Amino acid sequence: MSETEDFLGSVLPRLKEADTALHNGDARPRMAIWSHNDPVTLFGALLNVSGWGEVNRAFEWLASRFSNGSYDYEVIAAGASGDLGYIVGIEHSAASVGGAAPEAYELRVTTILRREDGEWKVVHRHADPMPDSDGARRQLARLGEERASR
Amino acid sequence: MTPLEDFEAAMERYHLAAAEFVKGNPEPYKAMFSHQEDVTLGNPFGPFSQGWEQAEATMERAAAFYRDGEVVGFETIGKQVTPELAYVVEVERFRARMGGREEAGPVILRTTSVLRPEDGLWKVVHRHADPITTGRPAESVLQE
Repeated sequence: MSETEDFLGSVLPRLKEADTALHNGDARPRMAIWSHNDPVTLFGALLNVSGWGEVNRAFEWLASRFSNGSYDYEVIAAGASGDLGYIVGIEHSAASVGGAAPEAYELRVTTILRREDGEWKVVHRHADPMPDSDGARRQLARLGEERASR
Repeated sequence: MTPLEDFEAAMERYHLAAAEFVKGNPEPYKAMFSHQEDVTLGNPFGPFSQGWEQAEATMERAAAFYRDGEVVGFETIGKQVTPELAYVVEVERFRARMGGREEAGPVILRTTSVLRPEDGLWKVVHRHADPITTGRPAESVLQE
Protein backbone atom coordinates (compact mmCIF):
# COMPACT_ATOMS: atom_id res chain seq x y z
CA MET A 1 0.00 0.00 0.00
CA SER A 2 2.75 2.44 0.92
CA GLU A 3 4.42 1.87 -2.44
CA THR A 4 1.25 3.18 -4.14
CA GLU A 5 1.05 6.11 -1.70
CA ASP A 6 4.67 7.06 -2.39
CA PHE A 7 3.97 6.82 -6.11
CA LEU A 8 0.91 9.08 -5.91
CA GLY A 9 2.71 11.53 -3.63
CA SER A 10 5.46 11.80 -6.19
CA VAL A 11 3.45 12.04 -9.40
CA LEU A 12 0.10 13.73 -8.57
CA PRO A 13 1.46 17.24 -7.93
CA ARG A 14 3.44 17.13 -11.17
CA LEU A 15 0.53 15.74 -13.19
CA LYS A 16 -1.78 18.47 -11.86
CA GLU A 17 0.79 21.17 -12.58
CA ALA A 18 1.38 19.80 -16.10
CA ASP A 19 -2.28 19.70 -17.06
CA THR A 20 -3.07 23.07 -15.49
CA ALA A 21 -0.29 24.54 -17.64
CA LEU A 22 -1.51 22.67 -20.74
CA HIS A 23 -4.97 24.20 -20.35
CA ASN A 24 -3.31 27.61 -20.15
CA GLY A 25 -1.36 27.21 -23.36
CA ASP A 26 1.91 25.76 -22.04
CA ALA A 27 2.74 22.16 -23.02
CA ARG A 28 6.26 22.15 -21.53
CA PRO A 29 5.46 20.69 -18.08
CA ARG A 30 3.46 17.91 -19.71
CA MET A 31 6.32 17.17 -22.09
CA ALA A 32 8.67 17.06 -19.10
CA ILE A 33 6.60 14.48 -17.22
CA TRP A 34 6.24 12.22 -20.28
CA SER A 35 8.82 9.64 -21.23
CA HIS A 36 10.62 10.49 -24.46
CA ASN A 37 11.55 6.83 -24.93
CA ASP A 38 9.31 4.80 -27.23
CA PRO A 39 7.02 3.03 -26.93
CA VAL A 40 4.84 5.89 -25.71
CA THR A 41 1.20 5.91 -26.73
CA LEU A 42 -1.64 8.41 -26.57
CA PHE A 43 -5.25 7.27 -26.82
CA GLY A 44 -6.44 10.84 -26.46
CA ALA A 45 -10.00 12.06 -26.22
CA LEU A 46 -9.44 13.51 -29.70
CA LEU A 47 -6.28 11.94 -31.15
CA ASN A 48 -4.65 8.52 -31.38
CA VAL A 49 -0.89 8.83 -31.72
CA SER A 50 2.09 6.63 -31.05
CA GLY A 51 5.79 7.46 -30.66
CA TRP A 52 7.24 10.43 -28.79
CA GLY A 53 7.63 12.63 -31.90
CA GLU A 54 3.93 12.42 -32.73
CA VAL A 55 2.86 12.65 -29.09
CA ASN A 56 5.03 15.74 -28.62
CA ARG A 57 3.45 17.42 -31.68
CA ALA A 58 -0.04 16.56 -30.43
CA PHE A 59 0.65 18.23 -27.05
CA GLU A 60 2.10 21.34 -28.70
CA TRP A 61 -0.96 21.69 -30.90
CA LEU A 62 -3.34 21.08 -28.00
CA ALA A 63 -1.65 23.70 -25.81
CA SER A 64 -1.81 26.20 -28.71
CA ARG A 65 -5.61 25.88 -28.70
CA PHE A 66 -6.13 26.24 -24.92
CA SER A 67 -6.27 29.34 -22.71
CA ASN A 68 -7.94 30.54 -19.49
CA GLY A 69 -7.78 27.00 -18.13
CA SER A 70 -8.18 25.24 -14.82
CA TYR A 71 -7.73 21.60 -13.95
CA ASP A 72 -8.47 19.17 -11.12
CA TYR A 73 -7.75 15.46 -10.89
CA GLU A 74 -10.06 13.08 -9.02
CA VAL A 75 -8.23 9.81 -8.38
CA ILE A 76 -10.46 6.73 -8.55
CA ALA A 77 -7.81 4.02 -8.19
CA ALA A 78 -4.06 3.64 -8.44
CA GLY A 79 -1.34 1.05 -8.08
CA ALA A 80 2.44 0.90 -8.30
CA SER A 81 4.97 -1.84 -8.02
CA GLY A 82 8.62 -1.67 -8.84
CA ASP A 83 9.01 0.50 -11.92
CA LEU A 84 5.43 0.51 -13.20
CA GLY A 85 2.40 2.41 -11.94
CA TYR A 86 -1.10 3.36 -13.05
CA ILE A 87 -3.71 5.94 -12.10
CA VAL A 88 -7.42 5.81 -12.91
CA GLY A 89 -9.10 9.16 -12.57
CA ILE A 90 -11.59 11.74 -13.67
CA GLU A 91 -10.22 15.03 -14.93
CA HIS A 92 -12.33 18.10 -14.21
CA SER A 93 -11.02 20.71 -16.61
CA ALA A 94 -12.13 24.05 -17.96
CA ALA A 95 -10.60 26.06 -20.76
CA SER A 96 -11.23 28.36 -23.64
CA VAL A 97 -10.68 26.56 -26.97
CA GLY A 98 -9.48 28.74 -29.83
CA GLY A 99 -10.77 31.86 -28.09
CA ALA A 100 -14.32 30.59 -27.47
CA ALA A 101 -15.91 31.17 -24.06
CA PRO A 102 -14.31 28.93 -21.40
CA GLU A 103 -16.26 25.74 -20.74
CA ALA A 104 -15.91 22.97 -18.16
CA TYR A 105 -15.60 19.34 -19.22
CA GLU A 106 -14.93 15.95 -17.70
CA LEU A 107 -12.78 13.14 -19.06
CA ARG A 108 -12.23 9.66 -17.65
CA VAL A 109 -8.56 8.87 -17.87
CA THR A 110 -6.12 6.00 -17.38
CA THR A 111 -2.47 7.00 -17.04
CA ILE A 112 0.43 4.51 -17.11
CA LEU A 113 3.81 5.55 -15.72
CA ARG A 114 7.21 3.88 -15.70
CA ARG A 115 10.23 4.76 -13.55
CA GLU A 116 13.17 5.88 -15.67
CA ASP A 117 16.44 6.68 -13.87
CA GLY A 118 14.50 6.95 -10.61
CA GLU A 119 11.86 9.33 -11.96
CA TRP A 120 8.26 8.48 -12.84
CA LYS A 121 7.41 9.23 -16.46
CA VAL A 122 4.11 8.86 -18.32
CA VAL A 123 4.24 6.25 -21.09
CA HIS A 124 0.54 6.02 -21.96
CA ARG A 125 -2.62 8.07 -21.61
CA HIS A 126 -6.13 6.86 -22.44
CA ALA A 127 -8.86 9.49 -22.18
CA ASP A 128 -12.48 9.64 -23.27
CA PRO A 129 -15.41 11.88 -22.32
CA MET A 130 -17.43 11.11 -19.22
CA PRO A 131 -20.79 9.86 -20.58
CA ASP A 132 -22.74 12.68 -18.91
CA SER A 133 -20.32 15.48 -19.83
CA ASP A 134 -22.02 17.59 -22.52
CA GLY A 135 -19.13 20.03 -22.03
CA ALA A 136 -16.68 17.34 -23.16
CA ARG A 137 -18.66 16.72 -26.35
CA ARG A 138 -18.78 20.44 -27.15
CA GLN A 139 -15.07 20.99 -26.35
CA LEU A 140 -14.04 17.99 -28.48
CA ALA A 141 -16.20 19.25 -31.34
CA ARG A 142 -14.48 22.65 -31.12
CA LEU A 143 -11.02 21.05 -31.10
CA GLY A 144 -11.99 18.75 -33.97
CA GLU A 145 -13.11 21.72 -36.08
CA GLU A 146 -9.89 23.61 -35.33
CA ARG A 147 -7.86 20.59 -36.29
CA ALA A 148 -9.77 20.08 -39.55
CA SER A 149 -9.37 23.72 -40.54
CA ARG A 150 -5.68 24.18 -39.80
CA MET B 1 5.17 -20.51 -3.95
CA THR B 2 3.00 -21.01 -7.03
CA PRO B 3 4.95 -20.32 -10.22
CA LEU B 4 3.53 -17.35 -12.13
CA GLU B 5 1.66 -17.91 -15.35
CA ASP B 6 3.43 -16.80 -18.49
CA PHE B 7 2.10 -13.36 -19.51
CA GLU B 8 1.46 -14.40 -23.10
CA ALA B 9 -0.64 -17.33 -21.84
CA ALA B 10 -2.64 -14.82 -19.80
CA MET B 11 -3.19 -12.65 -22.87
CA GLU B 12 -4.42 -15.69 -24.73
CA ARG B 13 -6.93 -16.37 -21.92
CA TYR B 14 -7.96 -12.70 -22.01
CA HIS B 15 -8.56 -12.80 -25.77
CA LEU B 16 -10.47 -16.09 -25.63
CA ALA B 17 -12.60 -14.56 -22.86
CA ALA B 18 -13.31 -11.54 -25.10
CA ALA B 19 -14.39 -13.91 -27.89
CA GLU B 20 -16.96 -15.43 -25.51
CA PHE B 21 -17.99 -11.98 -24.29
CA VAL B 22 -19.12 -10.81 -27.74
CA LYS B 23 -21.23 -13.98 -28.01
CA GLY B 24 -23.05 -12.77 -24.88
CA ASN B 25 -21.22 -14.92 -22.31
CA PRO B 26 -19.45 -12.86 -19.61
CA GLU B 27 -18.24 -15.80 -17.45
CA PRO B 28 -14.68 -16.33 -18.81
CA TYR B 29 -14.23 -12.57 -18.79
CA LYS B 30 -15.31 -12.35 -15.16
CA ALA B 31 -12.79 -15.09 -14.31
CA MET B 32 -10.05 -13.06 -16.00
CA PHE B 33 -10.56 -10.14 -13.61
CA SER B 34 -9.36 -9.62 -10.06
CA HIS B 35 -12.30 -9.91 -7.67
CA GLN B 36 -10.72 -7.46 -5.21
CA GLU B 37 -12.19 -4.16 -4.08
CA ASP B 38 -9.64 -2.08 -5.99
CA VAL B 39 -10.66 -3.40 -9.43
CA THR B 40 -11.84 -0.71 -11.87
CA LEU B 41 -13.58 -1.01 -15.24
CA GLY B 42 -14.34 1.74 -17.71
CA ASN B 43 -16.31 0.06 -20.48
CA PRO B 44 -17.78 1.78 -23.56
CA PHE B 45 -21.21 2.16 -21.95
CA GLY B 46 -20.70 4.16 -18.77
CA PRO B 47 -18.46 5.75 -16.13
CA PHE B 48 -15.82 3.78 -14.20
CA SER B 49 -17.14 0.87 -12.15
CA GLN B 50 -15.25 0.47 -8.88
CA GLY B 51 -14.89 -2.72 -6.86
CA TRP B 52 -15.68 -6.25 -7.95
CA GLU B 53 -19.43 -6.07 -7.29
CA GLN B 54 -19.91 -3.07 -9.61
CA ALA B 55 -17.48 -4.40 -12.20
CA GLU B 56 -19.25 -7.75 -12.35
CA ALA B 57 -22.67 -6.11 -12.79
CA THR B 58 -21.24 -3.87 -15.54
CA MET B 59 -19.79 -6.86 -17.40
CA GLU B 60 -23.07 -8.76 -17.21
CA ARG B 61 -25.00 -5.79 -18.60
CA ALA B 62 -22.46 -5.24 -21.37
CA ALA B 63 -22.33 -8.91 -22.42
CA ALA B 64 -26.12 -8.94 -22.70
CA PHE B 65 -25.77 -6.25 -25.39
CA TYR B 66 -23.76 -8.57 -27.69
CA ARG B 67 -24.86 -11.66 -29.66
CA ASP B 68 -23.18 -14.00 -32.15
CA GLY B 69 -19.94 -12.07 -32.06
CA GLU B 70 -16.60 -13.10 -33.47
CA VAL B 71 -13.06 -11.83 -33.11
CA VAL B 72 -11.58 -9.98 -36.07
CA GLY B 73 -8.24 -9.36 -34.39
CA PHE B 74 -6.20 -7.94 -31.52
CA GLU B 75 -3.45 -5.44 -32.23
CA THR B 76 -0.91 -4.70 -29.49
CA ILE B 77 0.11 -1.03 -29.52
CA GLY B 78 2.15 -0.92 -26.30
CA LYS B 79 3.03 -3.30 -23.48
CA GLN B 80 5.30 -3.68 -20.48
CA VAL B 81 5.48 -6.63 -18.08
CA THR B 82 7.16 -6.42 -14.69
CA PRO B 83 7.06 -9.10 -11.94
CA GLU B 84 4.20 -7.46 -10.02
CA LEU B 85 2.36 -5.33 -12.57
CA ALA B 86 1.86 -5.22 -16.33
CA TYR B 87 0.01 -3.09 -18.84
CA VAL B 88 -1.08 -3.68 -22.39
CA VAL B 89 -2.54 -1.20 -24.89
CA GLU B 90 -4.52 -2.78 -27.70
CA VAL B 91 -6.99 -2.20 -30.47
CA GLU B 92 -9.62 -4.93 -30.29
CA ARG B 93 -11.77 -5.66 -33.34
CA PHE B 94 -14.93 -7.74 -33.39
CA ARG B 95 -18.09 -8.25 -35.39
CA ALA B 96 -21.26 -8.77 -33.40
CA ARG B 97 -24.98 -8.25 -33.34
CA MET B 98 -25.63 -5.44 -30.90
CA GLY B 99 -28.66 -4.36 -28.92
CA GLY B 100 -31.03 -6.85 -30.55
CA ARG B 101 -30.20 -5.90 -34.15
CA GLU B 102 -30.43 -8.58 -36.82
CA GLU B 103 -27.30 -7.51 -38.70
CA ALA B 104 -23.80 -7.94 -37.28
CA GLY B 105 -21.68 -4.80 -37.26
CA PRO B 106 -18.08 -3.90 -36.49
CA VAL B 107 -16.96 -3.23 -32.93
CA ILE B 108 -13.58 -1.50 -32.67
CA LEU B 109 -12.30 -0.69 -29.19
CA ARG B 110 -9.21 1.13 -27.94
CA THR B 111 -8.27 -0.61 -24.71
CA THR B 112 -5.82 -0.15 -21.86
CA SER B 113 -5.51 -3.07 -19.43
CA VAL B 114 -3.52 -3.35 -16.20
CA LEU B 115 -2.83 -6.84 -14.85
CA ARG B 116 -1.21 -8.18 -11.69
CA PRO B 117 -0.45 -11.67 -10.41
CA GLU B 118 -2.92 -13.22 -7.97
CA ASP B 119 -2.32 -16.81 -6.79
CA GLY B 120 -0.09 -17.56 -9.75
CA LEU B 121 -2.39 -16.15 -12.45
CA TRP B 122 -2.37 -12.75 -14.12
CA LYS B 123 -5.62 -10.93 -13.35
CA VAL B 124 -7.02 -7.75 -14.86
CA VAL B 125 -7.18 -5.09 -12.15
CA HIS B 126 -8.14 -2.25 -14.50
CA ARG B 127 -9.58 -2.04 -18.00
CA HIS B 128 -10.42 1.12 -19.94
CA ALA B 129 -12.19 0.61 -23.28
CA ASP B 130 -13.87 3.02 -25.61
CA PRO B 131 -15.20 2.60 -29.12
CA ILE B 132 -13.71 4.04 -32.26
CA THR B 133 -17.03 5.04 -33.72
CA THR B 134 -16.07 7.20 -36.66
CA GLY B 135 -16.36 5.89 -40.19
CA ARG B 136 -12.59 5.70 -40.49
CA PRO B 137 -11.09 2.42 -41.64
CA ALA B 138 -9.55 0.36 -38.88
CA GLU B 139 -6.01 0.86 -40.19
CA SER B 140 -6.28 4.57 -39.57
CA VAL B 141 -6.72 4.16 -35.84
CA LEU B 142 -3.18 5.30 -35.13
CA GLN B 143 -3.23 8.16 -37.59
CA GLU B 144 -4.13 11.65 -36.56
